[in-house]
Amino acid sequence: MNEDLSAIQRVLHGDSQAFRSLVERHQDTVVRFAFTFLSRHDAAEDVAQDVFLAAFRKLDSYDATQAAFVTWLLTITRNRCLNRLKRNRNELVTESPEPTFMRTPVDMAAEREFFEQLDAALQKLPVEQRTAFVLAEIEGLPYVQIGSLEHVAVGTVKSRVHRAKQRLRRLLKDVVEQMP
Amino acid sequence: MNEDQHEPELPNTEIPESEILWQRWRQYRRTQTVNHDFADRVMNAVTATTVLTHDSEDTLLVRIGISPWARIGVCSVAMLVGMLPFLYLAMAAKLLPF
Repeated sequence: MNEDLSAIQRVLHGDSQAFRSLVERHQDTVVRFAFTFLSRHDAAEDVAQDVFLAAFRKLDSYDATQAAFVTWLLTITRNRCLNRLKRNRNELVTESPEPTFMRTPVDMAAEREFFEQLDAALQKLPVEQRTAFVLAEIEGLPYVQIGSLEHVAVGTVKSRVHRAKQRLRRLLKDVVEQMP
Repeated sequence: MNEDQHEPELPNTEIPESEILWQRWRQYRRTQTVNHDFADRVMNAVTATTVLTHDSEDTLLVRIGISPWARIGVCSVAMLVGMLPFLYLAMAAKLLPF
């Protein structure tokens, strides 16, 4: 957090290379979050690149008293992803997502297939549940931050996460029961 | 006494297995990382933006590196020269009071 602020100060004083530390610190979170909406790694990286560029251009409008830098970035990411999905509804995932970008050994193919089933199930959740689940359970953001990002109360975030977990765990149970 | 002869603890296979898979999946999602050149691409775009902004801010006179007073002089001369055709027309039309 403090590292973010000092990097932001340096960028605002003309050291544009200091922006690299911000990118490197938050790139995984931003791309993973974009991937949650778009389900395509190339599209997620494109959006993430736009997000960082927009953040660089508008860095002077960032108010550290209002939100953490990562929350600000994720708000931009969310808006960009939703705009992109609105523009091109074909991108809304109806098929299973492409193989993800984690390097997985071949002998873990079955597990990976199972993970992809869960990924696909995640994509089928309503967008607000999906977003809340990913931010809380994958990115580990506090509920308060998610609430401010989504403009909803903390209780609403909790219930969205709970409902998402219920649905995913139900699927998980079904899959495990079918396992030999 | 051989400990193996104790009543074996049969684990509940279903719930732990799903729990383990659940935890692994979350870990799998968390460990997804971007391409190694992503930061480079962003920084290239940032640099291009910075250069573009500076280019649009810099006038030709700034870029050729002359002093502010010389810039004022050059601009004044250019304005005077630019006015000459209009002055000539005004003189030809006898619009000038001198």
